[in-house]
Amino acid sequence: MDLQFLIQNGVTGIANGAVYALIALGFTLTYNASRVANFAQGQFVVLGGLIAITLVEAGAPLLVGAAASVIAVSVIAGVVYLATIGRVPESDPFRRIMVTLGIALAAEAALQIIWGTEARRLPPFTGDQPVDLFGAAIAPQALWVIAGAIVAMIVLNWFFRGTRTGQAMLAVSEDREGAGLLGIRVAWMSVLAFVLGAGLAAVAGVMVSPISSTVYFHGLPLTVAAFAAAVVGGFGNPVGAVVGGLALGLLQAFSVAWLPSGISDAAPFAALIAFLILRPRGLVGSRVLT
Amino acid sequence: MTEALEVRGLTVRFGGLEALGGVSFAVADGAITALIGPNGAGKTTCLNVLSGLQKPTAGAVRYRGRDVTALAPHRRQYLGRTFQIVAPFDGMTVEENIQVGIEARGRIGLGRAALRVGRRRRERRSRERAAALIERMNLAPVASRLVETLPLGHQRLVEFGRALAQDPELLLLDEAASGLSGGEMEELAGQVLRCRDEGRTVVLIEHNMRFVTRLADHLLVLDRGNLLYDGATEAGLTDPAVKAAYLGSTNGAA
Amino acid sequence: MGWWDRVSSPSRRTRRLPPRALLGVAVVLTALAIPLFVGDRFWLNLLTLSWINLVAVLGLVLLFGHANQISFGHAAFVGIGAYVSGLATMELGVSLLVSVPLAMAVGWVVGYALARPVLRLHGLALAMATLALGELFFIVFRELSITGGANGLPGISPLVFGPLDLTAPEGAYWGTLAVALATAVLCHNVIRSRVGRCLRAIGSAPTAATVSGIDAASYKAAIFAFSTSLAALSGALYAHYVTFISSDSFGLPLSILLVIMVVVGGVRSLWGAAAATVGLTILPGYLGGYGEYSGLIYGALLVLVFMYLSGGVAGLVETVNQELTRLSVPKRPQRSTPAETR
Repeated sequence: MDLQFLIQNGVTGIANGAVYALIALGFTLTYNASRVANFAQGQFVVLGGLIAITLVEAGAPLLVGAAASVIAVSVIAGVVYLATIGRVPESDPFRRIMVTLGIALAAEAALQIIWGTEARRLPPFTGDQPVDLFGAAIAPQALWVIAGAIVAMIVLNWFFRGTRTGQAMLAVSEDREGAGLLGIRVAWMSVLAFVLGAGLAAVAGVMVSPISSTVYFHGLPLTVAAFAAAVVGGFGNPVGAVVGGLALGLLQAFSVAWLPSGISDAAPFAALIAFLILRPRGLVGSRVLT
Repeated sequence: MTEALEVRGLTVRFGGLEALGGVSFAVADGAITALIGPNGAGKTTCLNVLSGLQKPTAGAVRYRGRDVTALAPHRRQYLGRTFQIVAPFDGMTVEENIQVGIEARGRIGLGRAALRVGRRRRERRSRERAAALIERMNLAPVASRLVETLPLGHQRLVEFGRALAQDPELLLLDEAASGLSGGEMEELAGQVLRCRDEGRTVVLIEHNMRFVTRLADHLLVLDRGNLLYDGATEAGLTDPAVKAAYLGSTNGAA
Repeated sequence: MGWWDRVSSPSRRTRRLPPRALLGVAVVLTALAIPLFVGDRFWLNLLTLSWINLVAVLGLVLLFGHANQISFGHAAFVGIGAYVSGLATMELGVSLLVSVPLAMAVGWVVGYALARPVLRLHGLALAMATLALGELFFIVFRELSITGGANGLPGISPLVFGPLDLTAPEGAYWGTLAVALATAVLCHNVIRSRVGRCLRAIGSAPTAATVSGIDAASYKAAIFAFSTSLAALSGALYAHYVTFISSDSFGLPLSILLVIMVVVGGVRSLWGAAAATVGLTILPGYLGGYGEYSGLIYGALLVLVFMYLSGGVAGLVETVNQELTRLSVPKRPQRSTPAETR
């Protein structure tokens, strides 16, 4: 096991991890502020990628296509929430889960119907030339992914600390009733959180498309990965989502390198079960699962 | 006077919060003991430890000399309990709720159930015993109603009956009178007294002081996890420290 | 004073439908008679598949509907049953009389072993854990060479139980229907028994159930194993009926479909589950397979059922029943049924 191998898989792992972290972060934010475990999170990722691909193939510049895609996914998510999940009372979490599961199923089918079964890719942001890092060949897109995730987290941090809406959402996550008593419109925060989670998913979808391509059936594995990342890191804890995402990304990268190809797919599932049963509070700690 | 229940140095800590800090007391056999205190004093936590739902951080619980601190809740055959927020088995009738209390123990018998072995006899016996309890709780008119369709007072009685169905030596009641009308409270008091007459030991958490003075001969007062008073009821309710604890909190009852 | 009276005055005061037993018998007789009227293999095949699915669904009704333990991984056990029985007949040369019970036994053991750790979880965590478990098994089925993976395992012994040859369409139909009926009877017995009450207690108020003396962990493990052995039976029947299986069949879509059938049926109801299973198995077949649209339809169905119809088919029937009772009886139907009528 040499340095090159470590760096190669390490960077791949961190890049994968960054994607997982973003998706898991969106999932966690949605869960905290709207109390919805969004089983359709992965579908928003794929949708984000596919819309961007369609726009770019129609001639739009990459940045425009990406931005438009994120906005489109956010709007769609908002509409879906208001039409379905938002109408199921919070007191019945199981019903809400099943509704999001139904949405996930329907969304996956819709993605297949609209975009077909072949895998598509966004062109890499700055081309294909591998970058040399201590002897290892790194795809530049991986670096973009990592940079993008960092930027996204910085923006989120500013949002939650520096804006009133963000602070309100944070308040709702901490104490729903208390926030309501303070005059915060909890119902609207729920919609917003759902939209925010979907937006993050779309960003992840745009960034990862050049690396892993985008196909309609990627949705569910991504959702499970998001949930696994959240649990491994610490469910309900945004820091946990990022830590868990990175851990999962690394786990996946190295298990692909070491295990026979198909079996490495099992890594996120195995990690999820192991943590749920043995260490439910995750790596960083969770208020939800102790 | 023999001791049914003995609690020594009971401490319960959640994260940084200490719900109970080294509480010790004894409950006499056949007595009715009231456990009172301001909100958050640790009363329900105490009951949870006694019923096995909460493992104490430190301390021991002995029942008739036997250490039961770590005993699983379903193995505490001597004990019956009701809950602060009433928890009947929704989706089942009053009769079925009581039946569960009667039938819960023993081997699962999935095979026997699937093959209906001995079913008629078992069902008949179960129904007969349930009917007796339903009669006793004056619930006969609603015996076949789904329990979630009943008003709170009836639900509390069902819960009481379910606890009684296990024929417990020790009965733990968590605010069983909460939310009841005057008449319902009378009914409940009568049921509790009847339990005492049968030789059962009762520990009840209460906020209603009339209820407490009517029923309890022994008073325990908790405040912020500490035992403030342990003795006769009358003296306890006029104790200055107890009064201060209540008036000092937002819940000024008595 | 026999079962007749008990049946005609059920605990809920609804009297519009004729005694449920009569209706039930009529439905069963109709089901038995179908091959005599319908010669078309297409329909017989769909109904046979319905009965095969129903075996798994009934177990899930007990586990999820009554004990409230969600499982999004039951397809794994269907797969276990299919592969164990299929491979046993192919590799070990034993007859179905051995391989099918073997499959059920393996389903039971694996289920029981997994149940204890997994069922300590609740709600979302349990849903995800079972989902992950199902996917793990799916990957195992796909990667093991002995299963043939996604390419499949052809040439599985057909549906022949010793001297009983059920390979003809009618034979397969009656055979699987018989198994489904037997399963339904067993499940019905459990539901109406003390075990059923304890399961529902665990499902509705687990803490109170524990304090009432129910060993919840053991009950949950037992019913989980019961349901997984039924799932395995379903898988074994499937394998020998279609004589070709591929790992693609035993993944998350099947797990979700099974849950949908339970829920659309009304969660706790065996009859509702039967109706939902037949409907959801036949409809895709009738529409020539939905193809790409199946996910869309199932998804929409899930969303709508959970938004508006949380009682499912059985709830709908019950609501209709109650409405008819309410409209037809002028005075409030106030009749208590204590010990006197039982």
